Amino acid sequence: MTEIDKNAGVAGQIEQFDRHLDKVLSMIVHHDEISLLAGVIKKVVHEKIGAGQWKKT
Amino acid sequence: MEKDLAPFLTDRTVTLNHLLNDLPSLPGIVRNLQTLINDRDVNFAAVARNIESDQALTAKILRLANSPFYGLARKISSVGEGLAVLGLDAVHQLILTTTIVDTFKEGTGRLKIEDFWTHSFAVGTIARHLMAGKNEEYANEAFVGGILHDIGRLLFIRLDRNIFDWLYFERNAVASPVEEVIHFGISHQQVGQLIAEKWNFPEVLKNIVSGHHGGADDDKDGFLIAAINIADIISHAMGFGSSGNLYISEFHPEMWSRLNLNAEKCEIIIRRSLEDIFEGRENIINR
Repeated sequence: MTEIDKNAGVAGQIEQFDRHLDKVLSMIVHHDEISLLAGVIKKVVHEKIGAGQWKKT
Repeated sequence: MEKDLAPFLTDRTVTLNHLLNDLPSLPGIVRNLQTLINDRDVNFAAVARNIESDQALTAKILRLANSPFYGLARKISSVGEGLAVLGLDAVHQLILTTTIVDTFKEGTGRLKIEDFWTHSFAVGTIARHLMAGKNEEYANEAFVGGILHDIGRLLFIRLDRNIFDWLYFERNAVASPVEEVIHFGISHQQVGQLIAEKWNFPEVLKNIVSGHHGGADDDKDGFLIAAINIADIISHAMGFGSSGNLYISEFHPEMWSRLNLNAEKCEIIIRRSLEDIFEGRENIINR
């Protein structure tokens, strides 16, 4: 489960999320599609964090 | 360090059989519904009356029918209306899902059951959006299949929660189906299949529960399994809850191709899914 520290500021939260994402995706064999997917996920989540709309799940 | 579990394996298999036998029967209302649905000349009014005899279930169905998943233009205010708009199969699957979520409430020291259902719900939601636009019937089945795909793991928790935590969380290695067989005597897909048979799941759900880590054939089940595989990876990647396994499903490029995915489609699906997951999970999960 991703624990994002809301007190970390936008840059800190993005860094935490990216660390989580890289760790999860490093567990599977690399494919170009996975890199593409990671890029899309980062784009959407960074935007949500920046807007203060990333909710704890 | 590898634990020496061999002496316990026979006992574990026996215990697992007992646990399966001890699983409660589905509530009478669900069994009645399954009988009614199997009747070719099913009477919607009779089905609606059957569901409405359970107020809590009725409230849940109406809440879910009016949630963002279905994107209905008007509010559904009765079970009969829900049946007419969503269809009998979709309502049946929703009832089955909410009943099962209510049946399994035990977590472990490492896994909160709410996190498990949050992950499962996210997989269902993303899989639904992956299928939306292709076939609405597939989309509904992808949603329910995503929620129930890992149900076999929940029986492992009942079997031995300490081994469960060790196998999936503490030993820092992939818990493949083979590892599950070594330590529990059976894989979670096989357990899921047994549960699905005991509870008389629709055939498509049985196939999803038993085959969601396998390859995808070029048929309906293949599309659904592809959607659930990709949704599982996205849900893990986005950190939605926990599947009860630190490690994620293997990626199958042919599944990506089968769903005809690209960056633009993925972005649309992820954005739509996010809103549904944030807003809708309370309708399934009792927190």
